[in-house]
Amino acid sequence: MAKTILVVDDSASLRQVVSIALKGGGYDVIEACDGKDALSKLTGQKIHLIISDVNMPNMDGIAFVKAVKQLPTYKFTPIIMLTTESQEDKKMEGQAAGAKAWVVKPFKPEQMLAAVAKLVLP
Amino acid sequence: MKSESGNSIRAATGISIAAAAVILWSSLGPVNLAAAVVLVVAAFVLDGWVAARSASNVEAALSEAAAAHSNEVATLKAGHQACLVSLGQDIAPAWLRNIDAARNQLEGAVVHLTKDFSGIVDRLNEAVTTSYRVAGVGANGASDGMQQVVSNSERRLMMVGQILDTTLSEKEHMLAESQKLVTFTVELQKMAADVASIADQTNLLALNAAIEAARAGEAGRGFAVVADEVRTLSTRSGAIGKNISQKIDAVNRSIKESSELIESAATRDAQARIDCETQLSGVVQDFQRAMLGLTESSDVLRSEGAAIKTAVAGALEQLQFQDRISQLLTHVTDSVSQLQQQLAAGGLPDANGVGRLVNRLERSYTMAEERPRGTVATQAEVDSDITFF
Repeated sequence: MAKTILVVDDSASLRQVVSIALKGGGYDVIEACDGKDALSKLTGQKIHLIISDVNMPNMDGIAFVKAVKQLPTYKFTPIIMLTTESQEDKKMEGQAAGAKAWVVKPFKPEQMLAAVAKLVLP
Repeated sequence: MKSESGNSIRAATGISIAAAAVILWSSLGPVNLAAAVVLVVAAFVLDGWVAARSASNVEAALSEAAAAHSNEVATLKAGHQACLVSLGQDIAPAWLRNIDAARNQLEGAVVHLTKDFSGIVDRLNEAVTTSYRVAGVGANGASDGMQQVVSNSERRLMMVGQILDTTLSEKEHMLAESQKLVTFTVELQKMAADVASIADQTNLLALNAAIEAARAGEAGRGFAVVADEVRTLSTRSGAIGKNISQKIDAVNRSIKESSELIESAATRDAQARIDCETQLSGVVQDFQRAMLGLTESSDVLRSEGAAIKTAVAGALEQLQFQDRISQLLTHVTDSVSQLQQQLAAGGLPDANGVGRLVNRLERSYTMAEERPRGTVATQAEVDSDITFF
């Protein structure tokens, strides 16, 4: 059975690109446009991994990661931050929030698939 | 006018001093000295008064000029303020609107392009899968489709050859059995000859018995009848023996002809078997060549498909530029909005206000190409980077 990945980004085109890359690797994809939308989509789903942008309206990526880590069901779900931010202090912020990896855009689809394969829950 | 008056007064001062000098030159008496002093003092007092009067005039003129300048500055400031209001109310919203429109159009176009690329990859995958299914090479190595058809056809065609082999073998068996019959007929022929020989001897024996019966006279009459009957029987036996021999000859000829026919048929069948095998092998080889061509074209399709998928993956990476541009434009529009709010609140910000605007803009930067002195990076120059925690 295919693993399900939640993709959170306010850019529709970026969500599309990530979805295509993941579907090419055999994953199912659920999309959300910001942290708030993503939290609502976690309910009633079995999500094996989350890929989230950092700078988003309503609820940014760091706040979203912190919120996910408070949910008993998703406490150990791996999260990859996908962002244009490349500064170390931002990365540290993501790590402190509970993210498992930090990917700087633009990403190569095969690299993203390799990172997902490394982190996705069995 | 005031200047002309001052000049006249200054001329009078000069004349007074000159007059004092003339008085002193004409006679240096006490009266003249006093008159000269009076004249000089009067001249200086008059000059001082004139100087004071001139200063007052200059001050008035300056004040008048300052008032005029102040009016002019106020007019310019009002015009400038109107420009700033217009900038905040008319131009800045137009900038923001157009930037938003450009961003939305770009995003819509990139979403569309991305979907198209995704569709191309999906259709390509379907084409490769179908091609392999038709060729009979499954992803799990299972054989079906054309490969299975060729394999089944080859097996069935080989069965035709086996049927022909069986028929040929049966004919060879019939031929062998016919040849055995020839052996039997030879034996029968010998047996028929023995019968004829026995009949001849019996006939001779009956003849001798008849002679002896005749010598015996009356007493041998009955024996003569018996000898005659025996002779008749031996004659009939001889005839039957000959008849058997003739029938055996006929059967022998028939067997020979049948054997020849069977042998001829077997020879033709053997040749047909060879021809059939050649034809069947040709058909199987044609199938296999077609199958090989199909497999090769499937391989080419898969190879080309892989190259196209790599190219599409590259394109997907390049299309992410839209997200970077969108963020860059968002930072610009946020900054323009902040300037617009400041203009609406009280006009052009002072040096500190501009500094704050610049600081807020710089804090919003997320990409190297946004920062001062940073050059705008092309997509090829921006490498993706992954950090695992």
